[in-house]
Amino acid sequence: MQLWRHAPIRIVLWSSIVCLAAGLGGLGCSSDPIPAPTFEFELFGWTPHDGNNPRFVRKLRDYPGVETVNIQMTRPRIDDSGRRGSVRSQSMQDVTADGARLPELSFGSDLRFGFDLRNADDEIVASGATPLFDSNVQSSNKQFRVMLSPVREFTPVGARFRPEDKSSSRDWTYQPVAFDGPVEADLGRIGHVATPLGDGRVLVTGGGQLAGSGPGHPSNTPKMSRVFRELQIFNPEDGYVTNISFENRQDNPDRLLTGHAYHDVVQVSEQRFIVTGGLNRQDGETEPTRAIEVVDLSRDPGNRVDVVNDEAGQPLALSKARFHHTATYLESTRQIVVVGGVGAGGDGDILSSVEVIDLESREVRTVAQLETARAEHATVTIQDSSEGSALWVIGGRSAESALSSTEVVQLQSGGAQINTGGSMSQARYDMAIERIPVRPSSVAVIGGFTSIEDEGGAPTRLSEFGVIPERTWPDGSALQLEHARGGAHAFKLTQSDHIVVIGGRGPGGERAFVPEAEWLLANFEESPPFEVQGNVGTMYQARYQTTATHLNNGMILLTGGYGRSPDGPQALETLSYYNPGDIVGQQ
Amino acid sequence: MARTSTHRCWHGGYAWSAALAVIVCLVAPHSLSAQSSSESESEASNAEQEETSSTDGQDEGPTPEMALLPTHSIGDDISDLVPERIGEMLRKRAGSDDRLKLLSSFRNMRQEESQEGSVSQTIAKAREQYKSGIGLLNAGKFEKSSEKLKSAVELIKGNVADLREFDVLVDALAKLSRAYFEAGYDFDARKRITEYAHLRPNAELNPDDFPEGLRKIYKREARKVDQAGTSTIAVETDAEQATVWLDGEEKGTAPLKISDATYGYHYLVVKDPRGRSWAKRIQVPGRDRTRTFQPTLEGEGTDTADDSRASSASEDGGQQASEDDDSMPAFYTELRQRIEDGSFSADDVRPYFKEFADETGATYVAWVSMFRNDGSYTAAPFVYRASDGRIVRIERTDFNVQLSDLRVGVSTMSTNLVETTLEMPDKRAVQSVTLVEPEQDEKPEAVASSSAETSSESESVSSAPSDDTSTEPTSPPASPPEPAPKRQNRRVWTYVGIGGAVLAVGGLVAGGFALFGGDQSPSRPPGFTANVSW
Repeated sequence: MQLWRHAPIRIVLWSSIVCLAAGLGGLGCSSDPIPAPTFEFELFGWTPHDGNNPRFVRKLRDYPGVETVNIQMTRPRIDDSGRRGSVRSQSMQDVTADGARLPELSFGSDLRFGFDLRNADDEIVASGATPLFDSNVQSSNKQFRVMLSPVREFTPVGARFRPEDKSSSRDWTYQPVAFDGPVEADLGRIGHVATPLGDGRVLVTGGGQLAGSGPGHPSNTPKMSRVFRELQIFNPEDGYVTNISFENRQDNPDRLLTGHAYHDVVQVSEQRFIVTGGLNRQDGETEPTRAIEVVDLSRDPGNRVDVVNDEAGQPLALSKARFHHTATYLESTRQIVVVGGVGAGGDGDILSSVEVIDLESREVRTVAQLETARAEHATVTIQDSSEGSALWVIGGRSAESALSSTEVVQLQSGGAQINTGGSMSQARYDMAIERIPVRPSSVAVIGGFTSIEDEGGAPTRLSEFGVIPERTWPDGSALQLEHARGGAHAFKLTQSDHIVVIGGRGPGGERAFVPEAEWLLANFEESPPFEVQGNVGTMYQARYQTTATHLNNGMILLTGGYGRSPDGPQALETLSYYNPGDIVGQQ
Repeated sequence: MARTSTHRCWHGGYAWSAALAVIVCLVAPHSLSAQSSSESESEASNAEQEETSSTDGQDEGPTPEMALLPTHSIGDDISDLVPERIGEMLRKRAGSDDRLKLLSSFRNMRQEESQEGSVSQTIAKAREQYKSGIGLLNAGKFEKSSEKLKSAVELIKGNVADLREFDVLVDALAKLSRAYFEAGYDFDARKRITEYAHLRPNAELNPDDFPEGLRKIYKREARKVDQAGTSTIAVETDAEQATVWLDGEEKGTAPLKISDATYGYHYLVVKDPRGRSWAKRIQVPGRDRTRTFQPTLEGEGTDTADDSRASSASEDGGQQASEDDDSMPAFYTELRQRIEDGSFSADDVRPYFKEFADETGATYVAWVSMFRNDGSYTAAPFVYRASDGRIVRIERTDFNVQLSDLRVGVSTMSTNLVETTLEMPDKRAVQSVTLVEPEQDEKPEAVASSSAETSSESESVSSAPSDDTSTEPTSPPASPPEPAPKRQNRRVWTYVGIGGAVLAVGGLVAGGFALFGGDQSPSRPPGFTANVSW
C-alpha cells in the first residue's frame, strides 16, 4: 500500500502539522483569566454595658457572650419608592473560627455586607454593616473595617490607630474617633453641619466653639469664641475623620472663605454642596453672614472650595445675612430657596424674606415675604417639577412667640406666591421632622420648643402628623413622646418604617440633656400611625445641638455638639454611633 | 525485501501520524478547557446533583409511605375471615413500625374526602399539591417541592373558610419554609417560618427535618410572639349563631371576644349554620390592644342538617372492610381483580399500581395473597415501588389451620414486609407471578419467576449437544491465505496513520475554533470573594 504517495493523504497530514503548530502557538499566547476581585472585611466590636466597662475588642472571640457570627450580603431597601431589601448570601460561623471566606459572590450594585453577633440563644448581641458598595468584574480589591456594636445602643465610633510610640505595624488598637485637626486646636464644636455624601461618607462643615459656659436659651443667638472654616470628612469604611482643610496644603488649603456656624448646606450634585449663611466671628463680634460658598469634592485638593460668581464676576451672596434659616434645593429648576431665619439685627430680627439662589442664571433674588417672619422652622418640599414647585413652611418662632401657623411658598417663573396652610395644634420651633410613607404623603413633626420666655424653652412631648397635599393636621393624629425634647433629630429607618428620635434638650437649663432614644413604631392602619416605645438606648455621652446623620451602613452618626465630658459640659469633639439594628430580613 | 526510500518515508509517516495523534489527544483538550473550565465544572456538579437526586429516593430512603391493599385469598378453600383477620393484624403491626408510614385504607381515604361535604374543588386541589410537595421534599427535590407547596398554601389561603383541617395549612407553611431553605431561597424561607411561628409559637421543630438555621429563625420569631403579649379580638356580626374560628380552633358564637390572641398574623373565620362564611387574615398587634371585626357573611349556604354528604364515621370490620362496592374507581377494581387472580405479569399491573399510587400519594403499595397449602395457610406478600415500578416478592409466611401461630406469623410477616420494602433487593424482583393451586396429589407450588430465575431456567432447559459421535468434524471453510507478516505490519501502521491523521485534523480544528474562532477575551470570574476576619 503506497498511501503516502496519494496527494490527499499528504495534504491531510501536512495540514495537521500546520494546524498543530498554530494551535500550540495560540495556546502559548492565550490570555490569563481575570482574577476575581477580593473584598476584605475586618471586624471589631464595642462591648455592651453588662456590668463591666464597655470597651473595644479586636478579637470577637473576646466579645462577651458571643457564639456565632452571622454574615449577610444584602441589597438593602434604599427608599420608600424603591425596592425592598433582599438577602443575597448568608453564612453563619463559629466565632472561634476567627474568619470566613465566601467565594464567588454575585456581582451587583448597592450591596452591603452586614454582620451580627449572636449568643447561645441565637439572640443578636451586636451588629454592624459596611456602607453600600458596587462590585463588578472590574472592581479593584477593597478593604472595610466594620464596627459591631450593641443593637439599640449608643457607642463611640471606633477606628484603628497605631500609637506613635509603637514601631511595629501590628501594634495598633481601636480608639474612639474625634474631629481631626492641628494638634494645638480645640476640636470640639457646635453649630456645624454634617451632610451625607452618596458614597457613604459624611462632610462636616464649619461650626464653632462657645464663649461662656453653654449655648444659653434655645431662642438666643449663641456667643461663639471661634467659628471654623474647616471641612472634615468622615469615612465609615475605615472609621477615620480627615480634615481636608489641613491635608499638607498649608499654602492652599481647602477651607471655607468665611466661618459658618448654624448655617445650612444643600447638596446640588453628587459631589457638590452649597453653603449658605450662618454665624461668623469677625472683629470680635459674632454675627450672621451673607456668604454663599461652593464645596466641590470632585476637584483636585486645593481647589475644592469656591464661590459662584454672577455675570459681573462678583461672588453671589444672600440679600440678607441670616442664620437659623432653611435652604432647600429644587432640582427641577436648579434653585436654592432660602426661607426666614435670624438677621443681623440681633435676637429680635426675625426675617420674613424668601430668597432664591438661581444657579442657572447666577443670581440671587428675593421672591416673596412670608406672612409671618419666622426662624428655626421646618421646610418640606411639596412639589419639585418643571410645572411648578412648592414648599411647606411649618412652625418656627417669631420675635414674640413660638408659631403654630404654616405657609406654602408656591414658586412660579420669576417669583413666588405665599398661601396660608393649616395650623398645628401646638406652636413649636426647633423641632424634628420626618416624612412618613403613607398615602396621602404625610409628615411627622416631633417635639420642639414651645416658648421664648420659659427658661428652658418649654420643650414639648407632643408630636403631630400633617397631610402634605392638603397642608392640614387631622384631629386625633397626635401622640406623646416619652420625653419632652426640643432640637431633637428624627430618622425613618429604611428596612422598616419606624422612626428613631434622638437627642434634643429637655426642660430646665443648659444641662437638661435627654440621653434616651425613643422609637415611633409604625402601624399605618391605626391613627395615629405610630406607637411610642421609650428608652431605646441611652447616650453614653449625653449631648444636644449635635449633628445626626443616617448613614447607608444603617448607623446614625452623631458628631460634636454640647455635651457631658470629664471636664464638664462643653462643645464635644467626639463622634458617636447609634445602632438601630435595621437589618435586612429581620422585620 | 530491499528497503526503498518510499518504504522508509512511509514508515516515517506512520510514526509521525501516530505521534501527532498522541500529541493532539493530549493538547487539544487543554485548549478547550481554557475556555470552558467553568462550564465543565458546573456540568460535573450538575451531573453530581442529578446523580445524587436520582439515587436519593432509592438508597437513602425517606420514610416509605405505604398503602396496604386488603389481604385476599386465592381460590375458594379459605374462608374470607382468615385473610381478613390476618390483614387487620398486619395493618396494625406494620403501622406501628417507625420505619415506614402506613397510609389509611383506600376506602377510608375516599370516605375522608367525601366527609368534607362542602369542601371545594380548590381545597381538594390544594391537598393534592400539598401531598405532592411533601413527596418531592422527602425525595430531596426541593425546588419542585417548593413550587407545589407554595401552590398549596396559596390555594388554601384563598379558601381558608373551606378548610376543615387547619393543620394542613400550618404544616404546609412549615414544609414550604424548609423546601425554600434547602433550595437556597433564604428570604422566602424566613418569611414562611415566620408565618408558621405566628400560628404555632410553641412548636418543637424536629432537628432531623429542619436545619439549624431555620430552627433559629423560628425560635427568634417565637420569642418575639411571646414578648409581645396578647391582644383581644372582638367579633361582632348580625348573622345569627355564627361560629368563630381562630386558626382553625373554634372559639364560640359571635358576638364574642377572644382575649388571648397572640401577636402576629392569624386566620379569622366566621360561619353561620346556613353555610355563609367570612374569612380574613388578620394582624394581631399584641401589647394588650383590642381589634374589632364586624364581618358580613356571604355565600348561599344550605342547611347542614339536610346535607346528604354528611359522613358517618363508622366502619364495618375495621379498616379491612370490604372495598367491593361500586363506588370504588375502575382502576382500583381492576387492580384488585388482577392480583387476586393469583397470576399476573408485572407489566400488566404496573399501570394500575401507578394510578393507585398517584391517587393516594403512596410511594409503596403492598398486598398479601393467601392460599391453602396442604395443612397450612400460606401468605405471599408483595410490594410495588412507585418510583420505578419494581415489584418484589417477600418471603412467605405459613400459618397453621388452627391459626394458633397467628400473632407470631403476622409479626414475622410484618418484619419481612418492612425490611424487604426498605431494601427492594434485585434477587426478589418479579416480572410475572403465578400462584398456582396444587392439582390432585401434587403439592402446591408457588412459582414467582424473576428475570434471573428465568434465565437460569432457560439455561437449564437449553438443548444438550448431539451424541452422534459419528459426526466427523468438518474442515473449516477455506480462508484466504495469510498475508506475509511484513505486509500485515504495514497495513496496521497504515490504519494507525490514517486514524491518527483524522484525529489530528479533527482535534486541531476543534481546538483551533476554540482558540481562535470563539471569544478571545480572557475568562471572567463568576463573582467576587469576601474574606472576613475577626
